[in-house]
Amino acid sequence: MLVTSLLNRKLANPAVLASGILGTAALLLKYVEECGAGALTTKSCNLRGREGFQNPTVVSTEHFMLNAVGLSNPGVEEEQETVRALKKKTKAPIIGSVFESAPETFAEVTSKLAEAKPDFIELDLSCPHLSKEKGFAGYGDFSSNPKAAAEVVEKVKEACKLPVFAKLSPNCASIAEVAQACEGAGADGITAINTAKGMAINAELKSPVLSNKSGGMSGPALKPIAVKCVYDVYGAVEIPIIGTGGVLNGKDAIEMMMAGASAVGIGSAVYWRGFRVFSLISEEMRAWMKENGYTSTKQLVGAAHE
Amino acid sequence: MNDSFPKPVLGSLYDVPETFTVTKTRQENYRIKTVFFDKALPCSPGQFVMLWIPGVNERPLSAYRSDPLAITIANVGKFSGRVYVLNPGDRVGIRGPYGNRFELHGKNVLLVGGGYGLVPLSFLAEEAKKRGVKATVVIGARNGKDVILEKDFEIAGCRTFICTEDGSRGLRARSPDVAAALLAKEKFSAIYGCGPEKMEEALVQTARKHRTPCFVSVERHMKCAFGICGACACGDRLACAHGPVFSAEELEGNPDFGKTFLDWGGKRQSYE
Ligand SMILES: Cc1cc2nc3c(=O)[nH]c(=O)nc-3n(C[C@H](O)[C@H](O)[C@H](O)COP(=O)(O)OP(=O)(O)OC[C@H]3O[C@@H](n4cnc5c(N)ncnc54)[C@H](O)[C@@H]3O)c2cc1C
Ligand SMILES: Cc1cc2nc3c(=O)[nH]c(=O)nc-3n(C[C@H](O)[C@H](O)[C@H](O)COP(=O)(O)O)c2cc1C
Repeated sequence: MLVTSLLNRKLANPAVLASGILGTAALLLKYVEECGAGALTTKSCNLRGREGFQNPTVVSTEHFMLNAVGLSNPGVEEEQETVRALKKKTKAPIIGSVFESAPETFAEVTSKLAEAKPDFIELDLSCPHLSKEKGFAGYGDFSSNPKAAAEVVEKVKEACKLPVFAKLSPNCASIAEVAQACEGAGADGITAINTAKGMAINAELKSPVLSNKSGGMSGPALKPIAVKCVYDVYGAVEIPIIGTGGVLNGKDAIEMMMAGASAVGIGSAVYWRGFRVFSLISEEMRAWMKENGYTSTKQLVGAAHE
Repeated sequence: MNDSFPKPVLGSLYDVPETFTVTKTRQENYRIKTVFFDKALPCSPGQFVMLWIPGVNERPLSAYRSDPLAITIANVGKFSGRVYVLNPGDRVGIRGPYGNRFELHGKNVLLVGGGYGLVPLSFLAEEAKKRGVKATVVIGARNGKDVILEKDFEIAGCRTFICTEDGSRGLRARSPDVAAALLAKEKFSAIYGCGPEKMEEALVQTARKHRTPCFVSVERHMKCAFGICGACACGDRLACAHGPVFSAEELEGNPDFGKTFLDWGGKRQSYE
């Protein structure tokens, strides 16, 4: 009932581990599969690796999580090893996530990671923390601009045969236009959304809490923003969507699919419901579908558009 | 490998730093101080807090006492150097507590610590006394000047062994070797270890040999501290959410324990 097709691959269920959550090591990703994830996205990597920001990097409240980890990663070569080790251990499809500072380097890091043969590539076009850093200036967040996003997708598709998902940001004028531009440039799918920009301040200490001052907001408060983005993207493109943002339970996942998602990204929910959140979401989806007369996840995709 | 559901990932529902004010500090040795705060934070031996100094950093520190909250800091780098010079009246951010705790098993326990690893063990010794559990402690240090918290264990009524690498105080031995010698002669209901990971690894091996339950606290770089980011991976476990306290059984076959850790950027590094 929950088996889901994503392009040329089958997922045991539509719950996909989102990038940057628990993705630092192959054994940990394998553990997430044991906890019920239908597909696994690796932590975004770039060519040379990054230290990331100093702490505080992640904080959370009842309603939202705020992070500015700063894309710390060991670099694509070590990430290749992670993907290779993971491939030996898991059945779940692997989505290799990459980022870089220019279309050419995006293409380079993608073809490097592709050597390790993940099932899909995801382009993190949308990390909100980097726009003011040197080398990232001028582009900022690629996915806030349809032309910049398309340029990256085009270069990557020239360099790599694997199916490519473009991961988009809600921090833009029209996510539908960005998605359309990516589709036009050859993207095979869209992941929507990354975090929304946010900040928290400690009043007594008169200081933003994150060392980077601002960060990306995820968790329950992001859900309505994500549902709206996925709804808009579904209306604008034909390619499949991984709907991500604030999904905590089975009903949230169904909402996301009815907005147009073929599979559902799960990240911060691990904080609210523990590592087994993936199995829990599957069980809850199955129960709801049974009760409401659905026999396949396919029937859910885009149902709210009819 | 134990695959149990993480303990309280939800330490509190508001995992943002709360403001705490320093009330007093106490010198433990030439480079270690205990810092006391103005409020209590319900927590147990083995659990840790994330202490934030704006503009400097935020790091995990073991709870030394819960009411009022206190931590003990070794001045070894930029962050700890700033914690070390905190004065009464200074304010910091604290979130937590995080992680699981050292659970007392049986009535005759052995505590084995090195450096600031003695911090949670001092808290545990106090609890052991309250519960009428007999405790023996092995305090390990590089040399005599490095020995800390001896007085705490005395107050808690522990039988105490001190050992130093250079023999300048107590026995000239490493703490796991002292533990091994004790285990060869006596039975303990459980062993609790905290210190450098190589020392913990040796202790775990000794405990296995003597078929005595053993629990150690695993240290890794931490970012979120609540089981999201993966920075503190140790095998398929997270030091922050599954630990920091792990049993010897849980660590059996863990390829990272005593061997490798992730550096701040996520690169795998070796303990050698
Ligand atoms: C669960 C947990 C509990 C912890 N509890 C405590 C605690 O109770 N008290 C405490 O002081 N720290 C504790 N730490 C360590 C603490 O989080 C920091 O790593 C430590 O304060 C050093 O940070 P720093 O930024 O000052 O130094 P860094 O800049 O990170 O390190 C400076 C240099 O000192 C070295 N170094 C680090 N620790 C030591 C040491 N102990 N002896 C000698 N050299 C060292 C480093 O390798 C590095 O070369 C704990 C860590 C964890 C994960
Ligand atoms: C701690 C943390 C780290 C993240 N790191 C990345 C990353 O490296 N690459 C990326 O594309 N998205 C990253 N994200 C964004 C998530 O993949 C996801 O898009 C977002 O959190 C919204 O989903 P959620 O509400 O289910 O968490 C990160 C999110 C969090 C909370």
